[in-house]
Amino acid sequence: METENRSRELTTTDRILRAFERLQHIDRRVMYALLAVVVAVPLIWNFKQPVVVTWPVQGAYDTIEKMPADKLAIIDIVWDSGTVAESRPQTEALIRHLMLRNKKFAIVAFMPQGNKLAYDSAKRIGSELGKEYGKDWIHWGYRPGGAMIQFMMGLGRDIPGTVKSDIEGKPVTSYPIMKGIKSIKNGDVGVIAEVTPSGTLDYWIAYVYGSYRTPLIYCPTAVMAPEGYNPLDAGQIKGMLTGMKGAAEYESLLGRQDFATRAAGALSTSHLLIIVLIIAGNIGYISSRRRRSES
Amino acid sequence: MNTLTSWLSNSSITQSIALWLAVGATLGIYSILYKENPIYRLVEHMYIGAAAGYYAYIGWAQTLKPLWWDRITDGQWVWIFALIGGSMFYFIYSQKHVWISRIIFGGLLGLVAGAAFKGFAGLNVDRIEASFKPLWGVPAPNIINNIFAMVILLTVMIYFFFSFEHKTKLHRAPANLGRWFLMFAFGAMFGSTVMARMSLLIGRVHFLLADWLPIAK
Repeated sequence: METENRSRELTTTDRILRAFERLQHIDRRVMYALLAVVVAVPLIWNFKQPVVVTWPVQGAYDTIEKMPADKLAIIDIVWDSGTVAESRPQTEALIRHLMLRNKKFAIVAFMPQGNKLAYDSAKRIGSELGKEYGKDWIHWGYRPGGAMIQFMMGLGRDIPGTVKSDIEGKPVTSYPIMKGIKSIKNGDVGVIAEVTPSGTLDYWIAYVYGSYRTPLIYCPTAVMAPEGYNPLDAGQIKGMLTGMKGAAEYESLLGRQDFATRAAGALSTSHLLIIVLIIAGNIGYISSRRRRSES
Repeated sequence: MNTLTSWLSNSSITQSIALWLAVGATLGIYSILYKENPIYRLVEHMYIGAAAGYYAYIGWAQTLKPLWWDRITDGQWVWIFALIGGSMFYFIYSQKHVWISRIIFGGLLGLVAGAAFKGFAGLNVDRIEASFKPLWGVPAPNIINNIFAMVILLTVMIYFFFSFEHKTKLHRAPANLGRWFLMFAFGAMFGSTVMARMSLLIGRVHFLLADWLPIAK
């Protein structure tokens, strides 16, 4: 009797394990469809979730808060349409913060598409907050990524001489915002924020922070974020916004609920699905391996 | 001309066309998830073509023209040498005159090596300094964190120490521990990669639901 019950229990466990094993062979398109649903539902019903501000984001926020109003901030755009969902909310959060605090800033882009996308964002937020191009902010335009190091070193010595013209092709010295701005060496730049999906932060650290100790803020995509913790720990960057999550945290510091905050719910549900699939897949894998070795 | 450009960029018809094109491109690209198909290929080639064309235009309009061409036409003829220097790179395609490209490549390598030498100190000195962490005189939680950081740093460095074979237990044990720590780091990096990819998907789904349909905020 006891043996019979035991074999029935084993059969039930076996059945569950086999269900997990079958999950290993599920059509990937089913998973894509599931993913589309778990992403779409929170966006449609606007699932809200608490946003906890982490210390790297707080560090970035405080660095901009502390920047003297007579200095210029530089927002370096190294992203394009491929990472727009992560990089644009970060860029817009920084732009909004600088504009709200009446701090001057310049945008420079090393990617052609990001050049226009960041310009459009700044124009839109600027008109919303009543900020004037050339007086409150400026866009230095696109510079080829291959000349990035030379450009950075040039900014260190002579900003107007290196930049020359803005996105509209006019000399940068013709704008009031550039009055008195000479060089990073002269202490005219208060903060440099880099928004990027690539590893170009090291150039700013090597050629600008290393020489002039200008505070840096790093806004990577989530893929690149682990690489940011070394310079963060070494004090080479003052703050970091990790992908869309970092942008959501920054939005909460600004008291806003823009795209990143609205998307945070979808980010959580999609992660939950991935975690469930990884666990189910691993149970199935271990079970099938055990069965193979037993047979 | 300016009026036409302004009308084109502000007209609701143009904006509708742009929206529908973007929707078609998004759905076309995602159609690869179902299976390989000609629509996906078409949209992919359209994207590559448009991006390359835009790149060429921006490169000319915002870099070459204001910083080079306009200077030459303003009488600063010395900038013509930039064209000569730049053209020298293309001699790499000629077997007979490849030596010309070597001159400019040599100069470029020298410049890059010099810049890299300068950059090394700026990049690494602070990081090396930061890896020496205080193990006393700081709050207890920091001491635990710092000990943890030290153990990870040393064991991972031992793992990458290939000058002699890890034969004895004294070498093998910390190297194995270092490998485990590396695995944890790779796991964290993979987690971040998932977050990045999900964010991109969310961006596109949000575009479809909010800008096109619109049923989301």
